Amino acid sequence: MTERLPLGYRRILVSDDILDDEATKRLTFEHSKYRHVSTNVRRPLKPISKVEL
Amino acid sequence: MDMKKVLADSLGKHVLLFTDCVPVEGHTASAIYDLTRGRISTFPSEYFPLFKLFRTHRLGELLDTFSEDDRANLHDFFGFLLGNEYVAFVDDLAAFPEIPSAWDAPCSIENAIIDVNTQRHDYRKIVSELDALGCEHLQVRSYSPVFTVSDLVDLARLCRGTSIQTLQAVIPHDPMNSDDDYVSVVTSNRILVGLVVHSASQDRRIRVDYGARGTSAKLVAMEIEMTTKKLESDLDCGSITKKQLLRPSTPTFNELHHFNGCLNRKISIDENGQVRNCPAMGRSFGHYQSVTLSDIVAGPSFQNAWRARKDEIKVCQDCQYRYACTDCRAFLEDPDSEDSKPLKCGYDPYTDSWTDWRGRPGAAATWETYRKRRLLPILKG
Repeated sequence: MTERLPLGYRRILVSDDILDDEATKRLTFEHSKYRHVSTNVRRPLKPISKVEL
Repeated sequence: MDMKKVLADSLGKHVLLFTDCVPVEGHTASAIYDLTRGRISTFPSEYFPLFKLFRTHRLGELLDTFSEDDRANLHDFFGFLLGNEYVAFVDDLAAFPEIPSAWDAPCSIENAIIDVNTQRHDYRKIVSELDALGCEHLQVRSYSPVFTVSDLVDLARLCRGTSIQTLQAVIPHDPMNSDDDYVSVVTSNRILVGLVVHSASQDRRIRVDYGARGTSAKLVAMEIEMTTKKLESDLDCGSITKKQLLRPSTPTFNELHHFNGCLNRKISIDENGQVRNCPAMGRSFGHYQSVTLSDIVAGPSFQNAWRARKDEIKVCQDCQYRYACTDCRAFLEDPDSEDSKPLKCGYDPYTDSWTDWRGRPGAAATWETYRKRRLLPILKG
């Protein structure tokens, strides 16, 4: 965890509270300039293509 | 619920169809799109005119316009509407303004497709140009072993720190790769939100374990789809089935009102490097090495395809699923008519039935036409 992250991010990412009986693994986030991207993984709202599977 | 009593208690009130529950008229069946709960209910189109009466008549006045026999059916219909919480009885309809139907996105390009077959592309250049366009979602589809898992890892790395938020991949199975290899690629690249491995030895799904359990596991669920189906080219795209209808939401509903669900804000690089609206569409806007994606996107001719609205497409304009269907403009039932319905759609709104599109009269001959164009690229343009 780098010191440059804002307090809000630090509190979320360094807290052991995220590890409980439902979450057994800690995920490592790599922050880019689009920091929100790694904390809120967006999904496309619609299929990009419709391949026949 | 005693419907007779419920209605009798509300005769002086207006029937409010909640503003996030939008009726869509179809020829035989119509639908209500519940944009908040993300579901679609259908009902016979004979009831559709009622929604217009809701705006002008109080419940008592409305019921008076129908005969005693029709009222029994109306009770059933109100049971359907109330049971699904689509309506409520209110004193003032003006207190519930409609949700604005405008749509926009904070990017010039929202999603992109890169097809790979016999030749590799300069992914660094493509990703860089997509980043400049603000592209949010990227899908790479590979039809041959030219694109390896290692290429996928490199591509995911190139996307990091760019506007691309999600990456999906459709790749052929490589017998040298184990399940763990595929899982490892997904878990170590969080940008990868979808992986389909075609030409596999059996149909199955590999669950990716992120360590979450219970309810939280559903939020981060991801499965790698292995399929025996062999994908050979962009001809394998454009399939429209019931399960591919969109889960309705306000953004997608509004977008499909104004724009084409597949092509809007999309750019594609086909397997030969040609830039198109969709890899399977005829018109090329040049090779990506000799043009700039931004220049192409800015051109009005590229954006024409974005505005192919379902309301202007024959047959689709009579379909109640038209704002949940992402359409296909590459393969049409009548290849010579731009406003023809998608060839690979199996729904008939005039009979309200789903069938295999291949069984429709003329479908086989039309498909052969598209296959020939594929074999003779000069015909494709």
